Amino acid sequence: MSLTVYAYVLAAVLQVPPQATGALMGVVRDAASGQGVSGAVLTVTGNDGAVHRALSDDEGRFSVEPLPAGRYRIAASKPGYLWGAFAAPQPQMAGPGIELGAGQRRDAVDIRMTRAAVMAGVVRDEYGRGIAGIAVQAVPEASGTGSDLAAGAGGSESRTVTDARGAYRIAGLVPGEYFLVAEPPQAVQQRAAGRSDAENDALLRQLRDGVRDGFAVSSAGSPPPAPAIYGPTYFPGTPEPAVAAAVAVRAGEVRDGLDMVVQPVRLTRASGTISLPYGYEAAFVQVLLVPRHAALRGLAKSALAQPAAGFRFAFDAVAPGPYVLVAQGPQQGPGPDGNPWPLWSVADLNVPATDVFEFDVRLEPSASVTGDVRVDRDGDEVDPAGWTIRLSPYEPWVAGRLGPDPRAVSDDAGHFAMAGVPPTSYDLSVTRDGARRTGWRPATATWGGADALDAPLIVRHDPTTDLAITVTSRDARLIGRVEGGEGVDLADFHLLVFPRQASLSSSARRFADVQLNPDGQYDVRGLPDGDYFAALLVGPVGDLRPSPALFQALSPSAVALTLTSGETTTQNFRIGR
Amino acid sequence: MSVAVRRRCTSVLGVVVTLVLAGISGDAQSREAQRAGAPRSGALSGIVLDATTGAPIPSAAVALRVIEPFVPAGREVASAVTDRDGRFVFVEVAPADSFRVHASRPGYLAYRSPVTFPIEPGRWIDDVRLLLTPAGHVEARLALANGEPVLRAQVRLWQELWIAGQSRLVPVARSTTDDAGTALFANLQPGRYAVCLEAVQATLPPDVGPGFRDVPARAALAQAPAVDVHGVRLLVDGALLAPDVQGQPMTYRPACEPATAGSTSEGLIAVEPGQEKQVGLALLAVPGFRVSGQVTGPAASYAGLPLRLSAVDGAGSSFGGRRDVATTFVDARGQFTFVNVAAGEYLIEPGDAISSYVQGTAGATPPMPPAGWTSGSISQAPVTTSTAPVKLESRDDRNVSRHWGRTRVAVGRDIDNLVFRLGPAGRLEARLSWPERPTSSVWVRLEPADGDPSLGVPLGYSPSRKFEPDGAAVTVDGIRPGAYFLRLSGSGTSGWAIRSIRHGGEQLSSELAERPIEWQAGEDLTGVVIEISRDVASVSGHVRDADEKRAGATVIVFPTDRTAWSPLGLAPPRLRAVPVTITAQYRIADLPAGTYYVTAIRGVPPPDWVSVPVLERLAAKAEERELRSGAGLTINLTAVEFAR
Repeated sequence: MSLTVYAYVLAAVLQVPPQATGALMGVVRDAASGQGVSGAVLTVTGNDGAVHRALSDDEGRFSVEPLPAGRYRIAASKPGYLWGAFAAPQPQMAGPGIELGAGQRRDAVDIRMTRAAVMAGVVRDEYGRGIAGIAVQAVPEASGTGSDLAAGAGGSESRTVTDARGAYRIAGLVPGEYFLVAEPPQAVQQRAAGRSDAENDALLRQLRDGVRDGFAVSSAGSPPPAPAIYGPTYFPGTPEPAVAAAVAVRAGEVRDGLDMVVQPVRLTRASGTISLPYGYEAAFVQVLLVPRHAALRGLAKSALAQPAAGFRFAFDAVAPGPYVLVAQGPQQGPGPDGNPWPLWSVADLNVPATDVFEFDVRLEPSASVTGDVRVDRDGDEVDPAGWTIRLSPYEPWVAGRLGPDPRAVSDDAGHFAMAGVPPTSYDLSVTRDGARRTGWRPATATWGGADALDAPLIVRHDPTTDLAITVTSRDARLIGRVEGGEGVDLADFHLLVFPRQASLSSSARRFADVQLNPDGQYDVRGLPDGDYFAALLVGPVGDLRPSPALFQALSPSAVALTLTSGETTTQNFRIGR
Repeated sequence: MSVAVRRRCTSVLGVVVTLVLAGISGDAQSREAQRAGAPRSGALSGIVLDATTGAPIPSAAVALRVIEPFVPAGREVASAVTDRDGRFVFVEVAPADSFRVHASRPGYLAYRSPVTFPIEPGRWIDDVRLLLTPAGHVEARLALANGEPVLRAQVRLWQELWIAGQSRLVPVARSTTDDAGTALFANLQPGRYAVCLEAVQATLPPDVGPGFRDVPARAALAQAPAVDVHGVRLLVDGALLAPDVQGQPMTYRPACEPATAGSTSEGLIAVEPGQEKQVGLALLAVPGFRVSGQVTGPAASYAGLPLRLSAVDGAGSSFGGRRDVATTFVDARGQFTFVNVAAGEYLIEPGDAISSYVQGTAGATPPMPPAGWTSGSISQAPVTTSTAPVKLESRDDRNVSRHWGRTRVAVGRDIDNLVFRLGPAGRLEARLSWPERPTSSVWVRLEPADGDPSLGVPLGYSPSRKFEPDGAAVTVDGIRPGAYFLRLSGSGTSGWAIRSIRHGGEQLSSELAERPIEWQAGEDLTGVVIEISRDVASVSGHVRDADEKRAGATVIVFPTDRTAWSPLGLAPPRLRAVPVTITAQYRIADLPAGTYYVTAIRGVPPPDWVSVPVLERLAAKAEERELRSGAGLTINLTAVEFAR
């Protein structure tokens, strides 16, 4: 009996959860005014993934409790502000973790919040009327200009739609410089023009007179192609992404009056002639015109050019702007490899704002890409055979329009050859089953002085592309230790390594982002030979995408290094107050 | 031979067209096709005008859509942009029976021809006048007492509409305040409006009970960001939570502009065509209290039941939709807790079977609970009211809610141990007795007599496979206490009228079911006989405008018997307002035989046309006609101006 009671009591004691009386307390303050921010939601995330939340009171004070002992990160969010973390160097960046002992009540966990920036204005048509339903997007200046801008970068939070009065308001922006793009949806694009008074007069006259034809007013029957459309417009009011102006906003700033006029752009009749390379014939040529602007993708057009018509083709109602033109002749054969080779042209085309645009397209025969895979030192772990070399179109506009990606596998001597490759730019990938596991990877892939692993490979029919690919297992290794920073959790720091040469800054393989271990040590492997910068950051790069602008911003505080394969470079850091 | 036949057909057709059009408009053009070859196409032309100024509207988009079976929105066959004189011309239109014409321009309410019309070979419909009404806007600005704007708050716009002869506020749009605390309600019909803050505190009990997470949307709720208050989880995403003051929990008092919205129609925001109104809504933080208690009733009926707490807006509240302040779930032991409730009077009701009016024309967001709040399993087809452009939409978690309850609570401090009683809902078991077997299934519905949306529209269904030659059985469940009209729907019921509803030999309603039936709490009525007749009439004709110009008109038909004017329910079969086609024709079918007032007015009727005083004024301008069953009567009318 007493034993049973004892067992019951013991069970009850065992079931008591770990003591959970700890607390994180502090004040949320506006970074500019220093005043308390009321009604902010505090989110406390434990290392075990458990989430605790609380609201700041009318003076910005908060207390998140009860919390069991552990390591926590704490962040605050409120509409109108960028989210902020405790001890974070910047808004929207994670801060270091906080160690909380059993029953410890930690005070002064203060969080500063930065007000978001706002861009606002009205989108009007050429009559000055506000247009509803236009997508307006703020694209960070750092993400580039020109064709990149046309492709539509930028996150969903920086996108909105004009209201019934044509007004837009993009709130919640990180301070910085932005391009503004107004993109009329398809329904609005077509609304630019209709029949003129005179045309309607003529039609009504024909109707009055022409009942005898049973209304077969054939000349006017099918509506003429729209002479104009409302196209994408860039602030301050240009259809040309290349001359768009960036607008800067500061924290908490409301930039109103960023108005844009969406002008109807006259549509062009674009026509041309296909010319074939000497000695080739084609039964027909298919011509595709693909707008580079994402919002205009629906306006892609295709036409057929036939020998009987002298290989002439024409596109009606083409909006001016940047396009990719893909022309393909039928399977033409046989090529050097005995297989049929189609004729191609893949080219950028800028359609000007003129009534008529005439251009010629020269087809090229498919190209061949050949080369050799070489192992950078003798070894029995890997041989030059069995590597898969694959080309994928560099421009997303072209993807899917050129058939399956060209690929080849290297033979015993390391030689490979691809035939029938459409002449355009490609990303190169060199892979081998299990190679990554054993530490083997491509080091260089040179052609004409360039490296196809860092920049797109430009394939032409003449001369034939010959690639020299080197694979290596020798690592350029970068190790080191970070010291100092009393009370700081070193595991919250990241080391960012990026190329010193600006022209290589878009090469993904020359970029590394590693987290320090709790002792502050790091180890970076697999970077190609070259000159680099290394910089310490709190928190992962996360929202800050690797970009030339980010690298530029970081380089003054970064350390310059040179990495060589087979060698280990040591670089230590010290955190000061 | 075949040529001759065809020619005769077209000539007959041409004559008919000429007659009709000559009767309508001097401008109408129609010509017979020429002798050589039959015409293959038709034409349509007209002008788009500003409804307030009569000025032509250039660069408006006009589209011609052909309506096909299973494609109610239609297929666009031609589009045009009006010229500088507002004109549009469609030629070479392939003939069809059902067209609609749409017209739109930014700044105006979109127009759609209310009734379909045919385009026949060789026919040119000329001088169509499409009137566009300039759109109104209401911009609401939300601020705290200290002037700080309130961001990401949900606000709802309510429009005054007349349903069942009574003024009601119907939710027409919902919006979220931007970074300046403003919310725009755009493209509004002229009318009277109210703007209310929508701050629903949603809580989950710590023990949600077994089965709760089986519904994916509810499992997501259980994972949603929340803060712990009074031992329950208060959801923070999308909620408008007031910060504590000196440790005292606070809440925002339910706020409307005008503040008296719901209790009186005085002071509503009047929006004229093209007008933009700005209104301010000040949020006052007041102490929030806890309201918790215990549900009594069969355990199976309450575990996991959503409960809602809604503000009582005074006697005879005219809100035609949910005005919830807080929502929660009943836990497995029958306990519930609402938190952060401001002092005031509230009703607690089950949240699993809810009904609300929704505007049928303005693309309103249905005023349903937050995502995940109902399991959303069953949603009744919305019931269209025939006297206003709204539908009564109902959603019911358990198909038929067999239990129901309503408790009134006055909050001024924390309340514990409140008892919420769930009792059985009422039931009707009836037999339909018909003169001939219908071709498709029949629905029996109970329409709230005064249009009270909280009663819902209890439905019963009689599938065609269970039909017997002389009738069928039908059961209606989930009837809450109140007054209802019993009415029929379903395509099989066209040409029907209810002759009587009898229970034990006694009339349950009046003759022809013109009086509502009172339902007591939990009352079951069995052995009811619904007797159906074919005593219906139809009336058609064309409408001439006094100035000989063809423009929109509405034909209104209502009984001369004034006792049938109120109450009305949602779709009274004897009161009808029907817009004319673009060629000014009308047709009204299935009117129960009787004596009616018949009149035509220009444009659309005022929203309160079903109210007794307006019907009295309409009667003064109307013709009195006897409509007999089986007879199709032709009445040609002249549209009169009828100002509010």
